[in-house]
Amino acid sequence: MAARELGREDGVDARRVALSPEFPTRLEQLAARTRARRAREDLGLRRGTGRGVEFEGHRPYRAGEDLRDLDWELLARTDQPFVRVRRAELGEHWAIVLDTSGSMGLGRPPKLQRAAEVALAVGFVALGLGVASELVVHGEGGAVQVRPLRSRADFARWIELVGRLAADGRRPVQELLASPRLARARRVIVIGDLLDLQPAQVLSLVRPGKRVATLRLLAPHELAPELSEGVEWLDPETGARVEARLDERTVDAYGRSLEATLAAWRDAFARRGQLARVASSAEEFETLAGSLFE
Amino acid sequence: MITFEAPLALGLLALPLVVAWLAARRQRAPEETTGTLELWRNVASQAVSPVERRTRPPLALWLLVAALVAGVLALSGPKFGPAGGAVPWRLVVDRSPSMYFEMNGKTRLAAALEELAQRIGKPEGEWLAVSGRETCAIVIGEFPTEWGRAPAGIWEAPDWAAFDAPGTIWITDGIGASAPVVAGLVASGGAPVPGVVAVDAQGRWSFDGRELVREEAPATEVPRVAIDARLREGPLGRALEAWAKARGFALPEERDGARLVVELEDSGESVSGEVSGPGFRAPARARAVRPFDGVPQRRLVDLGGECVARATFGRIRVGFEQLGPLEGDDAAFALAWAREFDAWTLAEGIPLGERQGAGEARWQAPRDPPEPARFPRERAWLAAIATLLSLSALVARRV
Repeated sequence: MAARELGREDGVDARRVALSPEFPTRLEQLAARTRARRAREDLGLRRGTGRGVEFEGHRPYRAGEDLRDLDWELLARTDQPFVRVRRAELGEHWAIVLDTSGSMGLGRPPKLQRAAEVALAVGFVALGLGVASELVVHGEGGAVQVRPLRSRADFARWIELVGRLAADGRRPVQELLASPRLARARRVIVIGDLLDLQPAQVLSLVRPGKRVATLRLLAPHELAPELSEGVEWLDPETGARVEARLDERTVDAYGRSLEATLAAWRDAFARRGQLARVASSAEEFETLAGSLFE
Repeated sequence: MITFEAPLALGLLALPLVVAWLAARRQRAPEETTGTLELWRNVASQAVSPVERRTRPPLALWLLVAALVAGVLALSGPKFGPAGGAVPWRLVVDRSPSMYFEMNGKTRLAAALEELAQRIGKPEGEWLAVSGRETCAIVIGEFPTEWGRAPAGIWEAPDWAAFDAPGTIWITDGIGASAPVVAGLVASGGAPVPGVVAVDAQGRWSFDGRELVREEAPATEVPRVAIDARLREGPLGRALEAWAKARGFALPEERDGARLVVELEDSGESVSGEVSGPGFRAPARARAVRPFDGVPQRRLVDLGGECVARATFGRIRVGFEQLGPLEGDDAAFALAWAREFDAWTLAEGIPLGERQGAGEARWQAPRDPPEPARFPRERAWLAAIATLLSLSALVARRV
């Protein structure tokens, strides 16, 4: 196993987020698939319970909005651009909490890279669904920043913000969860490895009518370390080290220990009817983001 | 003190260091960052058998590094002992009384040492204090200054013939007409020294520089001997009392100023057996006695393989806890001990042979002065150790 230096991956600064040129296209495709699925669900919901993301009325079209939401019939009749307004857009507001702690710089690709892509994807899909959202994150100086997303123009600023993020030092997610902006969100999505959190710290946000979802991203070598003669594990946040021989018995013991930890996390969320996902940072962001909408 | 024939070779000690450093680098596990360090720590702490990786370098490496160190040290030629590349002399010192007579403001011994220093440079090596054939003390390095003071009792001149060997120098005041064959000789020489030769209750014998002179004059002070109170009532105490009476010695309780002290040692290993001599025998239980430090001495009684009585000038040390009852002739027992009391009682006066002149100062160079060994003992040992370690490293590597 080759030595891996924190923050350096194949000549690229792994602590920072670098979006690929295909990312916008893939984002559009994801949003389209989610809208289509949501539309099918809406039909089903209407037939079944009469609840869901129901059509509420119209409002004037704003520059930059998705033209697919434009009510073409109304435009034809009134010569005025209106978009359909659904219940979700009226009342729903999401908060996306993005973990940028030092350990998020680990993995191939780095966990922060994947987490940021997922956060952007969730925000973009929410925008497509007419849901306003806010990105809650530690900024460059370490202060908690909240960046709203209500339009395409806002999304461009999100991308700009994400491009400046870095996995650096100790930035506890708990600081982000303490943000008062989370109180008014109907849905809180926490994305990161969340290694410094206990389930109760996230579940304390749950209120009637308010949902909390977590996506825990772990690097492949954290989920399933390879057998090897030995590795000196280094915690990038504390500098602590443990040297271990990675034989089958040790890796099995680690796997059981990790599974027990993650199972306890999932069980705690399940008992409160909330969503807790655990995934590898090697998975594609579309899959990861999609899992949050299931 | 340790010195090196080729100190520059010590620079090669960097070689094993470099080998160890390179090996340690190879041994070091690759570093990997993880956010789950706590889990790894828990796994390590809960494991029945060690999980943490063994980072010690393998035995073969240790052996190889040790072999290299030993090899480099062997090349550098270490020597323990005299510094400055001094020739390792064996210096036999005469400590008989005449060596402490003064001549020109210094003792004959000091004069001999000065002469020696002029001949061979600062004398260093193995110093032997010898009385007769007995080597009483050995000191490595420089001349021990405490030997510059006269010892208690009458030391004999060394039995020189026993020390006629290469690399040896005799240090004396004179040895008459004889001369060493191989060894070197430095003799201070010295004129006759008048003075008291022997004292008894009625007078004394003196040497006037040419012959013995008898002077009748009763001693003003009664000489004393002493014995441990625990021995006084036993057969040894009674023998000492009879001997002291015959010789005109007082036998008071205190031991200060006594010319002979018979002391009891009761801390050695306990042994039992039978003490016997011509015409007597006696059962005994005794403790082993320690030897005297650095002085001529003799074992007087052995019991059960241990020495339970030994003597030096002015002191007899015994370990008898129980002695007797005597079988045979009591007088034979007393006579046997009286010989020892006579032999070891500090005499007033110096033997005539010591007072007579020692002749002229003399220097005789040793026939074969010792050269520093081309391959000294330390170097040979280190080379052997290096070879052994190298072989062990090979074996360990294969295992």
